[in-house]
Amino acid sequence: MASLVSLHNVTKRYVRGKQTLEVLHQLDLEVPAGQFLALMGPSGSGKTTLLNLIGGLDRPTTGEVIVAGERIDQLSSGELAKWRARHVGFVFQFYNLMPMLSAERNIELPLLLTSLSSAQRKRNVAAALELVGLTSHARHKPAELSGGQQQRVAIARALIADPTLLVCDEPTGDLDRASASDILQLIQMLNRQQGKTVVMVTHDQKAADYASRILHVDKGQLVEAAEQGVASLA
Amino acid sequence: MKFFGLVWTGLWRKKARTIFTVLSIVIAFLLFGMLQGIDTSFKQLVDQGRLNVLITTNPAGLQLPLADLSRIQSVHGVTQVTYRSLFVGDYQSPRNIVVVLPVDADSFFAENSMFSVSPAERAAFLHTRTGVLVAQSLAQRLAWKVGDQIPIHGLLNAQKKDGTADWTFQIVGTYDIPGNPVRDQPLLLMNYPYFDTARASDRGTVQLFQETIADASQAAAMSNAIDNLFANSPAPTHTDTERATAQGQLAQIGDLDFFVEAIVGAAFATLLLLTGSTLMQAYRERIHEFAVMKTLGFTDAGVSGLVLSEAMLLNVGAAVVGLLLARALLRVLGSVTARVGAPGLHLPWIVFGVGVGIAVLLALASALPPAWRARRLSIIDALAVR
Repeated sequence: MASLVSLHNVTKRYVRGKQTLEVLHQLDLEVPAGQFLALMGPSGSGKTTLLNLIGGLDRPTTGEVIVAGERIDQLSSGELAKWRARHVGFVFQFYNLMPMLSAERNIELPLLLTSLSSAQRKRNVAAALELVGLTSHARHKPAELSGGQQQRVAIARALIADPTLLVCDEPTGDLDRASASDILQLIQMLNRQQGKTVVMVTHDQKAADYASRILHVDKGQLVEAAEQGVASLA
Repeated sequence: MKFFGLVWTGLWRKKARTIFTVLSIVIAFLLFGMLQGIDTSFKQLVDQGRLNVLITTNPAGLQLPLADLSRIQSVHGVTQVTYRSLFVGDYQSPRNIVVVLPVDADSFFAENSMFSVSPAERAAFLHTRTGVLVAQSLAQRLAWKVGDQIPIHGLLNAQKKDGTADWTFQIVGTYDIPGNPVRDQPLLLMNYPYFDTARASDRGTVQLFQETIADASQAAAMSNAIDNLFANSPAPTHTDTERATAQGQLAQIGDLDFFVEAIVGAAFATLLLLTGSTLMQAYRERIHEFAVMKTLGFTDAGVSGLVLSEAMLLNVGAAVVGLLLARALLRVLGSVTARVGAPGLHLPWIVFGVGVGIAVLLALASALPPAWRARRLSIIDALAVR
């Protein structure tokens, strides 16, 4: 299967005062379209940095990052923003919802950057809310929702513009076990039934078990985990 | 337009803070509108003053002998001369103040063509000794009609030979001065001969002479020529153009421009600091949200545009409310001041426009720092901070 994400010889260094910190070292990665990849590793191993490069939130110091056929490391800031809006959906550990906006208006946010009419936006938002099972909570603000419900709203927001790639940074890190299981099953369903390519960073082996492939990031390098059984939808 | 909801919601993130900021802006622009409205109204009054019309008065504010008329008429370049006196009175109640101008009807209308009177009413005025012409707005307000006999109780310069200050006039018509700031002044025109023969003192004198000259560029020389005629008389004169006379009367209040600019300048400087710090505080509270928006695909310019739009909506919206309030208040205040003889006050649309322009500049100045920071915001750094 063709790669949706390709990283070639990617190095990422941060300069902090007089110190230079190399977080990723000459890293190569291929993620085929439709794959559910889990990135694991200890804190400071560089897994979130790698996720940020794949999601177009950051640029490598050297090397190439090609996602959906585009050299995103060469795009300008404005081009990268537009590229993210078209191709990537983001799910964060702490949901990152707008506290002043209702669930439906949070989900609608990415659609404001499209040319869709107000009526079309409303229809798409209603469909996304139904997909994540929150139709009855459309008017609720984030503070009126549980952690699991907030993460479902975040997932609906990530999906609303129909991206090819879902980038999830510890999506269950702030949830109890039952809610975490629900969220992981939802992400797995999106991967299997809607063909979304998923790259997920997690500390949790149980969460990683939902992925079809697990990679460990250690000292800026990638180590392929052994083939394993995949947790499946209930 | 689809971003309006986002801007509006952002504005009301902290309701109490926004309400207090809006109130501050409304009050500052209310103050601006009121002061500028008053200043502009007075200036318009001065601008109505003609440059080819001279006003001759006594520098000490005393009356001038009517006998001076023929000497003034003889000055080369003076084409017309009229004269008038003035007294203040009230109709039935001290709330209904009126200003009565005893005039020489023929020369007065010849020199003051802005007074619009029908020929029939003008003729009636000429032929009715106790007749008066009243301002249309005054007649409407006091429900006067032609033919009414009206009693006016004199308050100033109005004592009669019979020991009273009670004058009775017959309304013979109304006049209007379209487009003039003094249009709504509570003015009555009466015949000078009636006033002069009935009054108790100062008979044979007038408050001022009004001369029309052939060449406005010669106004200074003509003024000197008139004043030189009476330089060593018991009643010396001071002559100036109608506009300069009005300007001089305005200057007696003080340097209105300076007061207005100083007060408005201080108010806007304070407002700039207030809105600037409020917007900066609002930006700091939302750094994380701006980073999320950028993550979702909002461009740097888009996010800074939202910050600017919020400031613009806040400043311009509140400023328009303040200016509309000033316009309404000046209208009310103007109708009150016009009743006591002061010029009508109003806020011209041009001043309204200048106010909105200032609000736009204030919004830009106060929002540029947070908008610039929002533009430069690093997603990675901002998302790392919770």
